[in-house]
Amino acid sequence: MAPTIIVDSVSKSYQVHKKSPGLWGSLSSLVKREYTDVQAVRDISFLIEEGELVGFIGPNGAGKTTTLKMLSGLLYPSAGKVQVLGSDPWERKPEFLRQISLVMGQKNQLWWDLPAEESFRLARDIYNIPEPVYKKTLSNLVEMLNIGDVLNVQVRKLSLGQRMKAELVAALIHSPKVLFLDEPTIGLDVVMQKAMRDFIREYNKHFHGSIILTSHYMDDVKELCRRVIVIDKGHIMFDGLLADIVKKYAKNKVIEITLEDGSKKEEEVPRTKVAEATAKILSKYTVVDLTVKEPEIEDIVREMFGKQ
Amino acid sequence: MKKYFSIFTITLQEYFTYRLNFVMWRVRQIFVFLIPFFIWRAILGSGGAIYGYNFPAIMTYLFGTTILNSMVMGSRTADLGWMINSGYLTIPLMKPLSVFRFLMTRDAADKLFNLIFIMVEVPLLILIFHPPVFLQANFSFILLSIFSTILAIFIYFFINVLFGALAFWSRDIWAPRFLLMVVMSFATGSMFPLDMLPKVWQTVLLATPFPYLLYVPLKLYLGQDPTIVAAFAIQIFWTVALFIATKYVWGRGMRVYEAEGR
Amino acid sequence: MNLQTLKIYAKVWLRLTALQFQQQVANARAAAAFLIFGKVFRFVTAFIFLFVIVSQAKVLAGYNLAQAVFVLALFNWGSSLTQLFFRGVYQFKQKVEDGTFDFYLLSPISELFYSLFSYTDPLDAMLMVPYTVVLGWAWVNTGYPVTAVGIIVLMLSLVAMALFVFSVHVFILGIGVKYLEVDNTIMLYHDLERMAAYPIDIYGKYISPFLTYIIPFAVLATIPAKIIFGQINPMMLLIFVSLSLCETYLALRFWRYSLKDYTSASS
Repeated sequence: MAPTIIVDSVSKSYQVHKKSPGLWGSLSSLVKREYTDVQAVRDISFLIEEGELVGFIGPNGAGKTTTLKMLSGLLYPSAGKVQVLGSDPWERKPEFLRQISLVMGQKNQLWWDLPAEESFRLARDIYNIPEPVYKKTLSNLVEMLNIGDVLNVQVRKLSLGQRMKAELVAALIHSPKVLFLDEPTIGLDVVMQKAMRDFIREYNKHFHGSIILTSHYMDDVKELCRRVIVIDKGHIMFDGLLADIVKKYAKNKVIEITLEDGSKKEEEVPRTKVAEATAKILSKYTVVDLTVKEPEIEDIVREMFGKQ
Repeated sequence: MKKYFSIFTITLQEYFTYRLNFVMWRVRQIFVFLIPFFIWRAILGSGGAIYGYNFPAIMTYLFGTTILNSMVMGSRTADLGWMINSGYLTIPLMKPLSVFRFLMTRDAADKLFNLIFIMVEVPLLILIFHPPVFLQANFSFILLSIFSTILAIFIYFFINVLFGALAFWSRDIWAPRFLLMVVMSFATGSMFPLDMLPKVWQTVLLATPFPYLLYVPLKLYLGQDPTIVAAFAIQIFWTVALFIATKYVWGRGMRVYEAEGR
Repeated sequence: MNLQTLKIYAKVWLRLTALQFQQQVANARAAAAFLIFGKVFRFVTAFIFLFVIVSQAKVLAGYNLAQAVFVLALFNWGSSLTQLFFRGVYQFKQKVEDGTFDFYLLSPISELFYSLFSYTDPLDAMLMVPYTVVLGWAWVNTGYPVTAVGIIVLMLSLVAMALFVFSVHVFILGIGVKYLEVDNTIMLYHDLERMAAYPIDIYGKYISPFLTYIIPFAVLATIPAKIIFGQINPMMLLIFVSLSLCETYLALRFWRYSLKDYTSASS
């Protein structure tokens, strides 16, 4: 079977109009406009198999959202080939659109002045979901997300967390096979973030759909994804198991020691010099406990982005 | 003074940001002119007169309202309601500016801008269609007309602020605004000269502030109507009355705005 | 498009209209009254203008008062009826800016349908009743008999009108996607459209052929009126239906082309 998602040497660039400052600049821009090309995504390739939950990480403006939007058929790639569930997303065939969903943490599809349930019913009609199936899916989702009590409240009166959960229901009511989550936890408090993560994990387990998740919270990715794709300035910098990032990019290890008086100390040493450094420490201090650790993923990723 | 100058230039710059919108806007100005032009030409172009207007008179009226329109109705204050509802008003409020002066400066930029373009467009239209136009030689009529136009600018500003201030109490401000625009397009005389209407209608309309935006300043320019001086007096009354009303409503509105703490 | 799809679209349209109505009731109760009053006022003043000038001049480019009134009534009827369904164009810029348009694209129903048809106002639909009555009255007033053939002509014209108005709206949406600035374009369309409220003949020998055969605003009123007045052959309607079909095709092409440039509001 072909992979669920095939991305082959895809690039996307935008044209941005530049204006020189001042009234004169504005006037002349009316006649002659200068454009600069912005490369959002440069020549990226990857495959995603059925049932995978892949994390997309990178700083703001790295090209994560642009990639998701190309995968879901919103944007037309400037170059390269995208295939999702066997079809070209750009064609936006109804059968294709019925099988995917995109959730954007910063945009909402719910009708602002009406209870969320009205928007769900609209989705039911749009996706032509038979009533019994709709009822069953809805009650499943509502139970998993625990928002049964707010379905009849005007969306504008919901808290951000409740609204995000309702957005998820609206996005999942047609049981998509591929789910794109763009910053689903953005702006949420720690408790809500955790609830959201738990849900995504559960959903992936029960529905066997492929999920791509972008986030700039490392915790989301660390807890949910085995595989990550690290993207920065439009390039893929790493694609593989989360654990391998450490092996590949962490040049140092961390030695943690506990002294007699109970105080702790940490020291970063190059990978190749661990034995040497340990010996030195042991000879210098009276050590109660000693562990050699890998550095935190956050630090590694930060370093990867910092280098460029 | 300098701060208002920079508001002035920033307002002007905003027009150029959206090039297509800008071009469409100017094209519209020409079409708004063309429809009545062709209707009047079909009716009076081959001679004759209705309600005392022959072709040159009605063309003068049409060109006159077009130019006056750009000066009187050119305004940015229409978005005041949006500024209040979205909380954007807080930005000018927090600055060492008078809000009214801030709004008026933007209006002035709009009017200047309109005027510059209309001064290109009107000669162009005259060049294409060669309509006969009457030029007033009596200086006192011109002076009266200019004075009346200045009052008209203030009347329109006050009407705009009053309608914008509705936003202090209500979220649906665009519907009343739509009604205002529809009523104005008729009652200001921009469709056709109001003295084509039956006498009773004229009397009723002249009791509202709307004819003083276009019809009255233009009639003063044409200098035909002897009773128009009385209308001038009513215009002064409306300017003062609307000024007082605006001050009062704005004061009440600001109290609501601050209370909501947006 | 098969029957099943048609059923889905009809259902979605009904749901959207119902939601729209509920939203309006929740949000802006007084607005409806102002809007209705404003529309009626505009309707009435347009007739007053015509009465005032043509009653004195007796004739407007070969049309007598009753005929000119019929053209105006027909224009008002046709343009209101067609635009009833395309009101989404007014919200479009905002929908693109706040990202709602992304959801339109993601849904398995046509994004054009979603963008245009999602704002049908039931109150506008109610206004069609008086508009139709006025149209009937104006027709009788012209002295031309209201015949079955005449009504068929009107219905066929409605097809041409709907196609033409649809193509213009699609074109405007395309501009909205491509340039993100659409407000004045819609207003320009409205100004242009108003030209069709009067017999197209008044616009002279250069502009009236343009408004008849290139951008056929004439189908909104002048053409069907002329057929009913017996001035042109009813078969001409087929030409205008095909012309409108061509314009629709071009507009859809332009739409596809604009979407390629769609950048989606950044988040």
